Amino acid sequence: MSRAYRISVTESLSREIVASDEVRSRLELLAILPPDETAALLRVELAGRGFEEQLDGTMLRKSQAIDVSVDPCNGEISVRIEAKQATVAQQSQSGVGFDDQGPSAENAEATLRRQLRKNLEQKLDRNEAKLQSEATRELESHLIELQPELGAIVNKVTRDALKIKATRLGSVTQILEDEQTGSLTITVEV
Amino acid sequence: MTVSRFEADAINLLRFLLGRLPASQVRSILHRKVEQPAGVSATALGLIQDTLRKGLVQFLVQAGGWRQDRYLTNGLPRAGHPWQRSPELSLHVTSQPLAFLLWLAAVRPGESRQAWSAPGALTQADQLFFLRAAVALQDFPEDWQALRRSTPFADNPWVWLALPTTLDPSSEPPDFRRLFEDHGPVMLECLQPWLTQQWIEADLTNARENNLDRLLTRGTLQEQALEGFLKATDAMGRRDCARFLLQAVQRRLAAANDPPPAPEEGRKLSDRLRASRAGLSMIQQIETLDRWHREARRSAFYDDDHAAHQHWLSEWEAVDGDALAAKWRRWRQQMDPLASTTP
Repeated sequence: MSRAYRISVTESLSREIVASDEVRSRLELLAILPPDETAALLRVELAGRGFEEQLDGTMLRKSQAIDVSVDPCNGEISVRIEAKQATVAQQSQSGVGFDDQGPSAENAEATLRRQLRKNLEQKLDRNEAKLQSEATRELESHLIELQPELGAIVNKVTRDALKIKATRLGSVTQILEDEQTGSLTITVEV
Repeated sequence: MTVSRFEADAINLLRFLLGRLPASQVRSILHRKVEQPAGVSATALGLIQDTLRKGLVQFLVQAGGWRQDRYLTNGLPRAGHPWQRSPELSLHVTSQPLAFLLWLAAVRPGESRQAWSAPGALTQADQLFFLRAAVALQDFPEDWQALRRSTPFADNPWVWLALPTTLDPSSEPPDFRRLFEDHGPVMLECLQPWLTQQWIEADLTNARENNLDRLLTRGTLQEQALEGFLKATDAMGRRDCARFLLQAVQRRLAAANDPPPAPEEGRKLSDRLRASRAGLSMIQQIETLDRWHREARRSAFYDDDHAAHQHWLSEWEAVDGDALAAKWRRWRQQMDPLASTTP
C-alpha cells in the first residue's frame, strides 16, 4: 500500500517592470520671422519656463516621470512618460506525491514549480499592465495641464515676433497688449 | 462547338473572375485538384479570348467608362466618352491571363506549394484582368491568402490602388507611375467612379474596426497606396486622375461631424493615436489635394500647366474643397491632444 506525501514548494520571481507612453505633436508657429529667429524666441520663452537646452539643441523639462521636449527649430514637441517599478512576486504551493524521494517525487515537485512560475509570470504581467494604464492616465492628465501652457508659449512667441517685425517695417508709435485675451495692436509709422 | 470538361470549367472560372458568374458556381472547380492538360483546343481558346475581351471591356464600361466625362489629354481638358477622348484606345491581352486561368482550374491555390508567377511582363490589360480577378477572389479568403503573394497581384499597381488592404502587409508597394504607361490613363479615367466606391467602403470598414492592430495594418497599406499613387499622379501631370479620391473624401467627411473614436483597448495613448490616424489614412490625403488646389490658385494664365491647374480648381470647387479641408483641420485638432497650440 503506498503512502501520500505532502510536497511544498516556494517560488519567487523579481522583475523590473517598465511602462512608457509618448505623444508627439508640433507647435503651430506662424512664419512671421525667419525660422532661426523664431527658434531663438521660442528658446528664450521655453528657458523662462524651466526648459533646459540639450546638446542636440532641443529644450527639455523633466518633472517627475514626465519629460517634455521641444525642438525650437521645427516646433516638434514630445511629451513622454516612463515609469519603472521593481517587483517581486512570491508564492507557495503544496501538492501530494506518492514517494518522498526518487524520480516520482522530483517530477511532482518540478510540476509544482512550473505551475507556480507560470502563476507568478501572470501576476507580474498583470502588474505591468496596471502600471502601463496608470502611466497612460497620468500622461493624459498631464496633457490637459500642458495644453494651456503650450498655447501661452505659442501666443507669446507670436506676439514677440510681431513686435520685431513691426520695428522692421517702420517706427512703432503704439503697442496695445492684453495679456489675458492675447490681443495685440501695433501701430507703425512707415 | 465542343470543349473538354476541363476547358468548360476553365471558361466558367474565367466568367467568375470577370464578375459574370457567382462564386457558388465555381467553388467546386476552385477547390479541386486535377491534372492540367498540356494545352487547350482552338475552340476553347477562341471562347476564352472572346470572354476575356468582352469581360474586360464590360468591367471598364460598368465601372464608369460609359459616362461622358472631362479629363486632361496632353495637358488640356477634353470632354466626351473614353473612346472619343482617346480614339486609339485598345486593350492588349497576352497569354498570361490564360496561363493563370488554366493553372487556377487545375490546382487548389490554398494548398499549392508554389505561388503562380507570370513568366513575362504584364500589359495594362493583363494587369486589369488580375485586378478583376482579385476582386472576385475575395469570395474565397483562404485561396486569396495564398494568391495575394503572387507577383501579378502583389506587384500590380491596379490591385494596390483599388484593394490595398487585401494584400499581404509585408508587400512592398509598386511604382505607381506604371499606371500611366500605354493606355493606363484612359483605364484609370474609366475606373474613377468604381474607385470612389471602393475607397468609401474601405474607409467605412476602418471606422467600424475595433481591433487596434488590424486598423494599423489597414491604415499603413492604404497610406502606402495613396501616397504612392498621388506622387505618381503629380509626377505624370495627371492630378485629375485623383478625382476619385477627392470624391471619396468628400462623401466620407460629409457623412460625419466628428472623427471616428479610436479603438479602446486599454492600450497606450500613443498606440490609440496612431490607430486613429491610420483609420483616417484616406481622408488625410485631403492635405495633398488641398496643396494642389493652393498651387492651382497661384497659377498664372501664361504658365504651361495653367489649363491643368484650372481643371483641378474646378474639381476642387465641385466638391466644396475649402469646406472639406477646413473640416479635416478641425478633425485633426480634435484628435491631437496638444492641439490648443495654434495661435
